[in-house]
Amino acid sequence: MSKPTDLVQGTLDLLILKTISLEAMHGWAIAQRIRQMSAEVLQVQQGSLYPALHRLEQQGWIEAEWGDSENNRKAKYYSLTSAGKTRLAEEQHQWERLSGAINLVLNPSS
Amino acid sequence: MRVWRKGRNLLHSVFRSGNADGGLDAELRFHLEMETAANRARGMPENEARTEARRSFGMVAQVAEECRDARRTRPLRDAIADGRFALRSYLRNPLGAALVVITLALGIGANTAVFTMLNAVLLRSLPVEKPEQLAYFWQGTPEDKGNSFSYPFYRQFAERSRSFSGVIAWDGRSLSAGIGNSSERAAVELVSGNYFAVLGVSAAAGRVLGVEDDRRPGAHPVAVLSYNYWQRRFGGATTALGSSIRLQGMPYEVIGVAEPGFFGVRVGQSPDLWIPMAMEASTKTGEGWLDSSGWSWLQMMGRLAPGISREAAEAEASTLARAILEEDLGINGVPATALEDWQRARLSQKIFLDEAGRGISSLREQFRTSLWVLAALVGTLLLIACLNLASLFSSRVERRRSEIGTRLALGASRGRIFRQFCLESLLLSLLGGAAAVGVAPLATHTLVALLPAQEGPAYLDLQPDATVLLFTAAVSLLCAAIFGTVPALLASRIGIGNALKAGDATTGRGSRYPIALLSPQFGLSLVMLAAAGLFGLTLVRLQSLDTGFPRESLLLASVEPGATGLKRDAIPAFYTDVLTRMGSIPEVKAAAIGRIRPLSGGLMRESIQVPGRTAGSPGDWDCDVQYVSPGWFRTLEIPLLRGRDLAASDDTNSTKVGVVSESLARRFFPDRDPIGQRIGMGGDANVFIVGVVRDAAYSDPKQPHAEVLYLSAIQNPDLFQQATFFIRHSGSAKRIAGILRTAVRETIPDLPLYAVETMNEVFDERFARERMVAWLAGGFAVLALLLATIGLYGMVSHWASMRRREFGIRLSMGATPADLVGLVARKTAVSLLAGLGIGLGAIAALAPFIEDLLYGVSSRNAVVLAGAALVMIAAGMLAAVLPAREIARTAPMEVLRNE
Repeated sequence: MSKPTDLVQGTLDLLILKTISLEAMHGWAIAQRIRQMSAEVLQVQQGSLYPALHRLEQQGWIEAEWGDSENNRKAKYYSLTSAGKTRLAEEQHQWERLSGAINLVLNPSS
Repeated sequence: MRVWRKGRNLLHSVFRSGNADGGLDAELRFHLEMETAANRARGMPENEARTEARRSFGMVAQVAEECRDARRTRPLRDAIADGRFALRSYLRNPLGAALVVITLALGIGANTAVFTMLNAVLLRSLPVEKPEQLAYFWQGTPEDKGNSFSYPFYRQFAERSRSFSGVIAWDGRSLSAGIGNSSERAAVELVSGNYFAVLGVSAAAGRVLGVEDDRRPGAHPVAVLSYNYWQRRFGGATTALGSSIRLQGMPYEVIGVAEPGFFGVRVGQSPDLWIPMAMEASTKTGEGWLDSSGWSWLQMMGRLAPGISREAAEAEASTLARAILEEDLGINGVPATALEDWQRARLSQKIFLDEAGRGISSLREQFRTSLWVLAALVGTLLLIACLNLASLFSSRVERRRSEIGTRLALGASRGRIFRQFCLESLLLSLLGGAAAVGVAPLATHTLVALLPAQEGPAYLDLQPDATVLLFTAAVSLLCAAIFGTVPALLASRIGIGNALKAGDATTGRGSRYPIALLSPQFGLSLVMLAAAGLFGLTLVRLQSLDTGFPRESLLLASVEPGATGLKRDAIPAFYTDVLTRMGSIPEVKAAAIGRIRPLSGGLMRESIQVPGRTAGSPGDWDCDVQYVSPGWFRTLEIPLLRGRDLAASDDTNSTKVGVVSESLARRFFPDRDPIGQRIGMGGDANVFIVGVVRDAAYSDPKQPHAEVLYLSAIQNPDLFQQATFFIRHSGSAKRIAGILRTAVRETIPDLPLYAVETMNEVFDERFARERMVAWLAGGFAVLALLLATIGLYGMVSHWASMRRREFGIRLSMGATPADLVGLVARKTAVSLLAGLGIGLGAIAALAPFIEDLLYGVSSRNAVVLAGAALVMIAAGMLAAVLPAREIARTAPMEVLRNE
């Protein structure tokens, strides 16, 4: 397996926001989901996940609530706030512009 | 919304006790368990599953810290941790911490008290609507201004002026106020109908006076109570409304109570009642003054119309005033050349407007400088205390070396140490400030009690408002900055190696700071000692003023027989009766009556005419006037120099006579004998001078050469509706006062005696301000020196005990104790000399500001300065040499054995 791609902070934020936009999850589940959805290409550095989550919470894009998990343990579930939804849309738009631009440079249309 | 959420998160993460991070530990633990379970599911054995989970996670502690940092709570969390640590250490040594907090509380409290007074007297706006629009009226010339106006002038002006949206007028009087059977004097203000409306003051109960209450003279016996008076005399009962109160015997209906906090427009006084101007005539016997343009007795204030500046209003007002005067004198259209001198002079007078947003206050003028001086003194005292604390805490830093070293070794940054020490000081300072808020009201009341009650009961709105609280907070922070910064700097500069070493501290840079803090303390103490000396000397000079007559054993008491409805003709007989009774008592050496109380600030001035002399401006012919009974000069023991005293035979049927003071004679009759000369008052020259008396002070004790015309009480009965008894006596004043009271009561049953005081008391009252400043300055100076010397004593003890080892070695090598003491003495002397320099410099800079408060003493008085310097140096040297001697006497062997 090739080395997992290191994720830049900004993109990690985007991925987290997207992941929990579908349903509220706890930190571990978020990491697994990102791995799954990216077909195992993106392996989140677990050490960077939690600081990112706390930062996003502090900034108000996501909110947390303690709930019961699968194995009946208490876990902290994160979900998007309405401001977060807006932020996600913006970030996604930005990403698409950026990657679109890079694509143009790499593959100039003939 | 987002900001709210951010803030809430911040607070949650900071203050959730124990778990100040939103359950971070539990969250991470959960993750590790899930990962471990996943590993197990992949087939790893238990232990391996666990370690693999840990490994792929990374260093848990570090991640946790990063999470906490991500929440941006580090500085606040650190501060709270430091705060908890500080509190615990204070609880372990409560006495030390308590002492510091108490010192700060007293110091900050004193400052807050003075500031509260400053605020109330100098700074605070009147509690009325838009106070900045108000302006107070003066008339005259820039050198000679008066603030009294006549009623006709006021009416004309108010109607015709365009620059003001409203002009009010008032006069304050002391009247007898009877409720039910009891009667006491009340401070009453006669006000124009628009008074409350223009000021924008509403009623707390009932209604306030309006224009409809001021239409017809004598037809509106209604009164509005002040809130305080309502509480005090009526108990705040609603039954007060509609009840009746008798002013000078006439019943008035109470129609309302003014809103709480409104005390009129004079700062330092509060009328008890407001009644319509229309009732003026009923407040006294004799003619009313409403119709007379000759009597100037009202004060005026106006609200500037929107958009009009004070300068523009002044110009318009002066023009209007001139026009009104011309009409009044019947000289409009008369060319200037045809006018008489005095008419020309009157017309050249202008109107001046003072901003009145903060109220008018003679209190302010008198006390402006003293309050600022007081503020400077308490501020300096607090500064000295803080410098003291700074030395104290600096030396404590020495003792905490190992604690600091350990923290540094564990990875704390120097900035963190600095912040920690700063926080400790801040905590103490804030505690001190909070305690000060409790202490301050007491101190304020004490200060106010020292104010003279000159023009009626002193009333200051002393409720602490936001400004005062803000001030207290600011001062607390400033204190923390002063005494916290130096120790914190010291602490953060300690080298690790140095810190962890056991044994004596070497003489590092650290020991220089405390000594550097010494000099300013002593320098400032010098300033305070000098100030105390100057104020004290001023007081001494004032107390020994020669007022032209002996002040001992002279009793004064006032009555107002006119208020009891006694017939006018019966009043002279009443006085004669009482005087005769008093004369028959052995302890009474002499007794008389007079209209004005000397030295009390009250006065009457008249324009007089001396036939044969005309040139000069109107003011040249003003003199002071006093009305006295025969025998008054004998009672006051003012010697008669020429001619004769007023006599009982000078009555209403004979020619009017008068006695003049030497200075008046010298001014108006420089080249001839005044005896037999005529003086005119009010248009006809009909007063003959029969005697000349030695100069005596009239209303101002500092001016013993008053130009006074003494007229006969018998010949001016109208002015004796109220009068003051003067009794020269032997023995106790209290006894004589009691006898007088009885004598009066036996003559007229219901007549109360008021303002009973000795001449000395009247005199002392005049210098209440100087006395207050002198005593306070003296007290503060003593405190300051005490603080500085105790600080020095402690510091030298500490310093010397830290150097026991060094001393022991020196002693064993042949030094004598005297050498060591000499060492200390030299260091101290240097500090004290530096302090002297600082102090003298400060004194030179500040001296001009206190000139106003001094009398008979220059602010550069060499004796006082030398004395102060001597005291300071002596105290300092003593404080340093005593502990040094103690330490130096220690036997060297004992010291070395302790190693």
